[in-house]
Amino acid sequence: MLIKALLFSLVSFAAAMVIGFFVAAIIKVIASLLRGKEEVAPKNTKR
Amino acid sequence: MQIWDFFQGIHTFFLVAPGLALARIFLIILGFVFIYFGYKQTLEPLLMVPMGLAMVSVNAGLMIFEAGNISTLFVQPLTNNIQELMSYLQIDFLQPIYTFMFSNGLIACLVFMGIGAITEIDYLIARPFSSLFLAVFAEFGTIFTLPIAMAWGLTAKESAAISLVGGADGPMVLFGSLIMAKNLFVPITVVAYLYLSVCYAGYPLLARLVPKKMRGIEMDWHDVPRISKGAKFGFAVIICGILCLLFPVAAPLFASFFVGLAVKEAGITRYIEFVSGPVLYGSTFFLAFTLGSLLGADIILDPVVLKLLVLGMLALTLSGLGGLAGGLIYHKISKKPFNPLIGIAAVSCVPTTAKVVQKCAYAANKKCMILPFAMGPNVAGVITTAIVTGIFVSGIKILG
Repeated sequence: MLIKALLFSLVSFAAAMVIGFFVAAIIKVIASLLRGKEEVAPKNTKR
Repeated sequence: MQIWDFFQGIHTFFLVAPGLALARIFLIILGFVFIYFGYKQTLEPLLMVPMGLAMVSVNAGLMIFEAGNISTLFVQPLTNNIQELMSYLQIDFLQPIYTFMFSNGLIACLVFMGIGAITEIDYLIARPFSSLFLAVFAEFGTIFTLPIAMAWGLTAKESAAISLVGGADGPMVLFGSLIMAKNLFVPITVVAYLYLSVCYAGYPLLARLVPKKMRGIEMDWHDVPRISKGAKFGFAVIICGILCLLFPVAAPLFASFFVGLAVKEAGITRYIEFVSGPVLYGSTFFLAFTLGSLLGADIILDPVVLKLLVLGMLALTLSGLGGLAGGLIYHKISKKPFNPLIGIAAVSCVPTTAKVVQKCAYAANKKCMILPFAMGPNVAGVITTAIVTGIFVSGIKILG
């Protein structure tokens, strides 16, 4: 049972990574749709 | 009537078991220690002063009730009986806050609204992959406490419920325990909110595992593009809808956080002042004060709570170490300077861990400002906790 639990944990970790990247891709798409409104910080200045 | 009856706080030391009396003394001293370090600003004063004072009061103020029971007039968390609960609501002064705000996660959602109103999410928008990468590593404790808890004798569902403490999101832990281990809901409520003190007190120690030179790495401000308020407002609204659609388990947290953010980006001054002031600090104050009052000797010495307390601490420590490992890996693979301490901020517990890593980085290098970078993985941590909660709730039946 413990080995089964450990395997479940490993599979959960891998699944979380895959779903996490899927969410990151969605954020990236939304961000790119809003890209026209991005302002790049000017060089040699500190915010 | 004897003279001792007038001084019941002292009298009760001799009426309870010696172990309980010693635990009371220990918790009173611990309360004073928290107050001292809060006053000195070594630990977060916003939490430690009210929490420490409540700990001192609740462990000192034990009294004898008519039925001969020894208890306090603060709060009774370990009750599932509705009739008893109604009685406690009329007697214990913090019971209404615990029952109507604490155990259902409302107080945490109010904190999230306030945090949303003061958060910069530029880094999450600019670098979602690195933020989510770090956040998944910071779920290490959530995921690997499960087999440890099962080895310690808990059932699969109970193990999954307590493991969620590693995600450091109170409301998500409460939801998980309601679904998977309703019998442990109340003790898990107590343990779940203890993460606040663990994050403040424990994570700076974990940060010391990283060499000082690496802790003080400055990051390039030009790496984060400036994004207009209009774009951030649009992002907050759209991503809130999408995340609630994908992870209904965390919808209250997402809605609370993004409404704060939307109010901020929309520039609604009256709401910004209200949400980032009275709502944030009011709920933080009562969260800390109620948490302190839950740390009575009888609760701490309950064998079930003690076991859950150890597993909760273990889950948070493993999550901190996992986040740190993720930070070190990203430091190696990143082409730009990257401070590995940001990995700890990915444990979520918004914004506590982000503030902790900023403090640690500043201690190593006075020019180091990593807080805006840490907020990305910090918010991503909420998303990954929701993902893992969803996986546990839907998949735990495989383990029985």
